[in-house]
Amino acid sequence: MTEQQIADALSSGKAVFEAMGVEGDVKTVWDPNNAVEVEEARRQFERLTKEQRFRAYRVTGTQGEAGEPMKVFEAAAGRVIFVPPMAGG
Amino acid sequence: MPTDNWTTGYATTSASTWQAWTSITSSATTSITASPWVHWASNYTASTTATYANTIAATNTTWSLWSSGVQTYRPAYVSPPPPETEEQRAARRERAAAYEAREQIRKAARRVAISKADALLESLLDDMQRAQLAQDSAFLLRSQSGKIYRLRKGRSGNVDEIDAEGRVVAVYCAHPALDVPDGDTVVAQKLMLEADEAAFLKIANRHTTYGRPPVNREALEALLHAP
Repeated sequence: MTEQQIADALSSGKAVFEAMGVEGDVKTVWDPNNAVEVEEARRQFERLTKEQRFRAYRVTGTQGEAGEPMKVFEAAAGRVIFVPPMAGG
Repeated sequence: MPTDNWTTGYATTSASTWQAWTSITSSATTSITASPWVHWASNYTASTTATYANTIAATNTTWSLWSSGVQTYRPAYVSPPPPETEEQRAARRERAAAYEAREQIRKAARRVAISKADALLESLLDDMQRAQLAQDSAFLLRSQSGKIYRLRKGRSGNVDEIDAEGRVVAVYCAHPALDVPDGDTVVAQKLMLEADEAAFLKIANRHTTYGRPPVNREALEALLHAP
């Protein structure tokens, strides 16, 4: 899925999860108006943040705006990037 | 000071430690039994004479046999392996080809991951940062506390704290625990510095600034005067 496709999805009211991984980020597009998809997104959010200790940041805009940490799932989050646990190097 | 038992001569028929190690007599009598050192280094064995006799006996000592190449103590000869058969050669080439095929798949997957990570990073930068990244493989950002950082494309030791003069005052290293591509690493660092700076600094290790070049003055001015 390209960044342009993500932009199109967001502009059409969809929400996007981008979870970083070894094979690049895994993108999940879901409809905030679909209860089933919202519930699945909530489960994914909980799994990533609570179980795997990822940090979630809500990101808006296209000009490098700062992300906003998310501790709690929000159906109207828009674009959310999940960052793996960090380690000092 | 060690006692007489370590170094001094015989007072009794029991030899001191040093003498037992180095001398050729074990007692005050005329019998001769070689000490450990003598057994190791000399080329004789026990003699029934009362005097030291450096004679070559039928059973040589460890060192003499070791150094003289006497057959009895020569290391066993290890013959080279037999030549590879045709079947073995074919099997070896098949294993090499399978390994190469797996490596090609792995590298292709990694290239895709890198491409995705770079696209994600580009989508989270402003125009000025994109231009800096393209030119210097690094860009500047203002953190949550207002400090200026330079993020260089990489994984470790790639976060430089910059002062108002453009000098590097600290180098930090914190990266995802997963082996994500460098683009994702920089995204993670950017998001944390802009929204969770205290957490980033708590996790990051601080390194020496030795050898770090100062920041491009023009880029610094643009950031300092950005709205």
